[in-house]
Amino acid sequence: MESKESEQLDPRAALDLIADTRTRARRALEVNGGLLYAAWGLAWLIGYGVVWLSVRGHPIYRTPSAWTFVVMGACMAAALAISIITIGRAMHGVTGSSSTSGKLYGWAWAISFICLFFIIGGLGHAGASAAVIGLFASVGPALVVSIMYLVSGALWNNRTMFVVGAWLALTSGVAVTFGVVTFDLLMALAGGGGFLVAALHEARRKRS
Amino acid sequence: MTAPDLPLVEHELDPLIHAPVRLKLVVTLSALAEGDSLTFPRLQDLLNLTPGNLVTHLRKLEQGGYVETQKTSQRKGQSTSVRLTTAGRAALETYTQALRALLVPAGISLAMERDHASRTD
Repeated sequence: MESKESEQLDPRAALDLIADTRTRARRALEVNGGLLYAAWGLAWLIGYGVVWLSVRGHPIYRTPSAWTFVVMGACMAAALAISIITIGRAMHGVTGSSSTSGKLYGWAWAISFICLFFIIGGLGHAGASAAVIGLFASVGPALVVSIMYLVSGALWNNRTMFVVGAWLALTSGVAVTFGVVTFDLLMALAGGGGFLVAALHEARRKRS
Repeated sequence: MTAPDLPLVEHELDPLIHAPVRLKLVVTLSALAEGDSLTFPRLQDLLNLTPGNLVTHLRKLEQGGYVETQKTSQRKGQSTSVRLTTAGRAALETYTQALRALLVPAGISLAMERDHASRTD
């Protein structure tokens, strides 16, 4: 190692070393956003897709069948696991303000979704029909995700996140006017599709 | 004109940073957000260094005031984390600019600086 230490580093080699090390460090320390968008895109496409397959074609709205919840739950669990592992790998060993705000950010998601489950339960308690509960159970997550993405994009100056949030908010707002059944189909295509486009955009940005 | 000047200027390159291992160390730490630190094992892993080697170089940088090490107690026991100081960040910036100045002929470099100055005005 001592020989390397005394080895002369010419200016060109030093600049190359800086650029190379910076790229490597950023790749290791930054969260791979493309992977997360792809995971959530597939989860939305399959999750909302199976709900739509289960509720479509009935004259009166019927609560999705049990297998739908199993498939949807599995998709969400897989996307969540990919997110936690990807973020955990990038943030491993990082301490300080980013690590603290990252933990609080994780809690913000968890608390919002727990609250959503209570609201859905409360609607049932208040005597809401299956159609109203079904609609809120579909719209609620889309709303929480849109707001979280809009705020994250604004605070971290992340345009992709902000555009995804705006897209989800606007498409879910429009889709809701088509009724509960069509909403699920539109969210599978527009929501899942939106995430997948964001994944492609991130992959292309990284390569350039 | 530039050729005889070159060795003189090269001598002015910060000796604390102008060594491959320490340069990689400082650049890696500069990739973190300001105020963040990196634990010793992760830093070692990113740089592919032996603990002894990393400690030696860290000590030199710490003596120069470029990095700060901090012992933190976590759930898994004690761990040491390292962060780049403001002085360290500034030193890397100065060093990078000095390298660029060495590579660019004096005339062009002056023109670039003038151009930069007029753009920031």
